[in-house]
Order: sequence, then structure tokens, then C-alpha cells
Amino acid sequence: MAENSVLISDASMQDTLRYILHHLLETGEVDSVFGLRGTKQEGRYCYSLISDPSMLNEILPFYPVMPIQGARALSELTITKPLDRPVAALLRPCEIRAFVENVKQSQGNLQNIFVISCTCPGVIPARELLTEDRQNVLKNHDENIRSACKACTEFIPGQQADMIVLTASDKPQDETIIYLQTEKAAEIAETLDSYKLETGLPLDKITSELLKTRKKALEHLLGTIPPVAEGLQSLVSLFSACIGCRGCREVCPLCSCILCDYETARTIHSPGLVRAESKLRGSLRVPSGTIQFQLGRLMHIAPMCIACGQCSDVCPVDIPVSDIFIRAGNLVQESLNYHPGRDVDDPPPMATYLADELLEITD
Amino acid sequence: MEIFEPRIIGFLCNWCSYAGADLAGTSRLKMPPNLVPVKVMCSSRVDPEMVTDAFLRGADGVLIAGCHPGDCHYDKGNYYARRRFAVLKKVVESLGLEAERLRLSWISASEGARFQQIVAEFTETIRKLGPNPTQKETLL
Repeated sequence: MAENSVLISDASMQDTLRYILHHLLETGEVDSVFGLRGTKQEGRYCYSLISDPSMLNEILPFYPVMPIQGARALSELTITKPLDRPVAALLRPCEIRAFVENVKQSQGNLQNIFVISCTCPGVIPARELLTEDRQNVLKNHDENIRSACKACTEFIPGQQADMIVLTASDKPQDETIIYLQTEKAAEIAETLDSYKLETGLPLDKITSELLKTRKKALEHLLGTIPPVAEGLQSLVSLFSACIGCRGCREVCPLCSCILCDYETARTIHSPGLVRAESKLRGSLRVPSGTIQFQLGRLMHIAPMCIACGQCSDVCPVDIPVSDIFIRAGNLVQESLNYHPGRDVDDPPPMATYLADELLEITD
Repeated sequence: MEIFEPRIIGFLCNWCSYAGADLAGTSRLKMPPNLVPVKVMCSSRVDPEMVTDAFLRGADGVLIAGCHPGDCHYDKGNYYARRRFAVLKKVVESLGLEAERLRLSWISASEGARFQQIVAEFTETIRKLGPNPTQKETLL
């Protein structure tokens, strides 16, 4: 297949994708479509599995919101067995990366999933779209996206994507441009006679300015690690607002244990321990263990964190959870030389090793 | 003025480091009494959350000790332990906490003297760092 072959449409991105998806469903090329859908109430969205072509007018391809992490939904669909019929899935790059991590941990399967992705402009926190000001929020998209999105340098989907819609690029596009990444995508494009097929510019060339901006934001985020003298204090003050809802864990696409360690008697502090610690310190917050929960989750997730920002999105007390995870993830992944979500064949970071690595941290 | 006596938790692997500690004892080697040993079957048994738990409950330092690379009783447990320790250390660093309070050392069953030396050295490091600030925290 020719490199950088693209499909070009004069219609809007939404209409083009709806048309393509309609075509895929009608011809039986795919059995269903998985993607973001609007609900009857303004500002409320959900992911759905759609099999009736007439329902496709509700699908909102790459609308800037992520009600839940798509990988979590897709994992629910494929955890017991692979899909037996093809499904076209509209996923953002971080959702693909998360799903690749899910697959590695036997929490899902990529078989029969036709992935349509985009060069991702980022998403707006769901609650911002529930305000009356939503039109303004949408208009100033780039200012209002998640802080994780602002600092995301991996907005171009990886090898798992069959089609990539150019939704973020250095210059605004008049046409809808879809990159055809696989044979399958090229075959499908051949059958769509209403669109032009051409050779496009390499994706990294037309997004280099965006990458620069994002890299700058990421550096800024990484640069705000508190100095050692203030570390504990800033950590404690940050989480003093935590109400222990565990929302960050529930929405995390990588937190997939059926029984979390922090729901077991092993980690829940006993009454005796709480009283003893309170006596020692003069006082102790009850229930205790907030910081330990966050540290535990950090250490379990940081090696694989794909930096989607879903945890910050749902935090009811506005703790910047994802900023903390992105900072930790960056350091951990660098030291383990692991790139989460890149390839299903990369061994999981905690189940592999090199004999002569990390010599500087041991003696 | 009262001298600060650190409390250090030592996770020692059953096959090498615990035996090394035993050898240091039977050889009557003198060392500071600040290390509280916890025997684990392998250094890779130490989940980083066990370390942070000790840390948040006021341990001034945590030492993890296992067989030298290549000598693991379970073949490769200590390699996994090293990766887990890397995660621990980097997470702690990313939060601006004191990573110097954590140490991973390889001590074989025949290295009683090395055990003594590491305990003495680590106790001194921690003594210089002072008491763990988490001991005063009430919002954990």
C-alpha cells in the first residue's frame, strides 16, 4: 500500500465519517460501530455500540469530550472473548494506547476491531460542557482542554489505527482528510466512490508546530515537581481535599484489578492502628490511608500510565491527579525504557528485565 | 540534647541477606541496633506499597536487601525487585519526597561484614537526614 495515501472529502468531518460508517454497516463490512454518541440532553454524551445504520446520525465522531475512557468500554466488550464479527471503533490515540495495555494484561482483545482514530486536538473536561457557558467553552477549545491534553505529545495514533482523521494540524484544513494506514482501510476507501484518493504529506510534517507547543507544555508540567523540602507538605495539602470517592481508580483504564488492594483487610487500617497513630501524632484524619492509596495507585499505574487525564476529569474536589501521574509516569517509564501502548508485543514493564540495567539505583 | 536514633525497616531476603545478617550476628560484628529486620522469601516480594506504608507510618529509612544479580534463589526475583525499586524511587522523586531514605542493596549469605557495613552506613545517612517528616503529619 502506498505511504501517506489519503482520502479527501469536501464534506465536514462528521458527515464524512457518518457516511463511511453508514457504508460499512450497510455493506456488512462491519457488524457494529463503537463510538461517542450524543444523548437527548444537551451536554451529555456516552459511548455506544451501534448496529442500526439509522442510529448513526447520533454518532459524534471525535467530539471534544471523553465521558469515559474508551478503552474501558472496549475492554468490557472483549474481555471474555475476541469479537467474532468486525466492529469499527472510533478511538482517540490515548484510548488506543490504553487498550493496547489492556490487551497485554488479558483485559481485552484487538481482533476484529477496525480502528478509526484522529490526530487528537484534545478533549474538554465533561463537566465544562454541562455549564450554561458551553458554547463559549467549545469556542475556546484549545484553552479549555484537559491539562493532560495540553501536554500530550502523542497525539498521532500508533500502528493500531487503520484510519487516521486529520483533526489537529498546524494549519486548519478546508477539507476532511483521512489517512489510510492499512490495506484494509485502503480497500474500503476504494469502494467509496464519492471521495478523492491522493497522496498526502507525512503526518509528522504537518503537525510539527503543534508538537512543539505540546512539548513546551509538557516540559512546564514536568518542571513543577516540588523541591524535596516541600514535597511531603505539598502532597499532603493537595490530598487534604480528597473525599475518598475512588473515582480516579474507577475511571482509570489501567486500574483493572477486580479486587483492588485498597479494598482488602490488608490495607484498610484497623481501629487499633488508627487510635495508636492518632495518639502518636496527636491527631489523625479518619478514615486514614488517603496518601497511601494514592501512592499505591501511582506505583501500580505509573509504569503504564498513558496520560489520558480521565482521573482529573472526574475528581469532584479538583485535585490535579493526572498531573501527578504524568510526572511520575514520565520518570518511571524513562528509567524502565518502556513506552506504554506502543505495541502489544512489547513485554509488560513489570514482568520483564535486563540483566545489566538500573545499576545506578542499587549497590 | 537527645541523639536522634533512626528507625529503619529492613526487608531481607530469606536466602541471602537474612542469612548474611545472621552471619554478622554469629560473627559478633558490632553494628547499630537501628535496623528492624523483616524476613521476606524474596526481595521481589516487597511491593513498593509496603515500603510507602512503612514510610508513611514513620519509618525513617527502608532498606531492601536481596541476593546479588544472577544469584537469586528463584533465578530472577531480584531483577524484578530492582524494577519495582526503580518505580518506587522514581515515584518518590516525582513527588519531591526524600528518595535517599530508600536503599536497595545486594548482600549474599557469606557477606556478614558487608551487612554490618551497610547497616552502619545507612544508619549514619538517615541520622544526618533527621527524623522522617511524616511522623508529624496528621492528614495521611
